[in-house]
Amino acid sequence: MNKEVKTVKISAADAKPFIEAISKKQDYKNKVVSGEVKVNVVKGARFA
Amino acid sequence: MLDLLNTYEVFINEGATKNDDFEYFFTTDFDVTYILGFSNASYLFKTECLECGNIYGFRFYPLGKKSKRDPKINLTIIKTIQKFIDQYNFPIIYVCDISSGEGLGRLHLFDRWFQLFSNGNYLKNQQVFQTPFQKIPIGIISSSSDSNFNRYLDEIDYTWMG
Repeated sequence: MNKEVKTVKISAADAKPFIEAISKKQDYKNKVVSGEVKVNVVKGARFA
Repeated sequence: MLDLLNTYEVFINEGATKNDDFEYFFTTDFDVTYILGFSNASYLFKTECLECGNIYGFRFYPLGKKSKRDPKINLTIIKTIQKFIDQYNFPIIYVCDISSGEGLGRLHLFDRWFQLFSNGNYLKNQQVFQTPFQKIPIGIISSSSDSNFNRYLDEIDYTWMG
C-alpha cells in the first residue's frame, strides 16, 4: 500500500445492514460461480 | 503502464445491461467467461449527497470455475474499469468481499491494479470500516478531474443500508 488506509470504527449494530447487503451480493456471486444460478450472456458490441 | 495488447476483448452483455446496471464479459483462452458489472451504488450514500448519485459499485466473477493463472485476466479487468470511468465519468466503489477473511488482501489487489493504470489520470481513496467483529474495506476510484472526490467516503451511510 502506498499509504495508510484510514479506519473508521462503527458499532456492530450499525454495520449489520451493511453486512447483510454484502452477504446477499456474495451469496448471489457464489451461486453464479457454482452454476446454481445461470447468467444470461448475450454478446453485444465490443466495449474495450 | 497497462499493456493493452495483452488483454482480452470485452463485450457488452446485452442480456443484463439496463438503466442502472452495466454488464460486460470476456472469455479467456481457457474458455472461462468472466462477468464484469457496474451497478448504481447511490444506496450506499447519504441521500443528501446528490453528487453520490452516479457512483457505481463494481463486481466481477467467473461463470463456473476460476480460470488457470492468467495475467491477462487482471489486465482485462483493469482495462474495463478504466474504460468505464473514461466513457461515463462515473466514480466506482468496490466493497471488498469479507466472507473468506481476505478483504484487506483484495483492497491491496485493487491498490496494485490502480498503480498499473492511474498514471495521474485517476484518484483513489480507501477506507476500512471496523466493527468489533470484522473489517470492511472499501475503495473509490474516479477521474482526476472529479472535484467532489474527497467527499465521497465521508458521505457513506452505513446506518440504513440493506
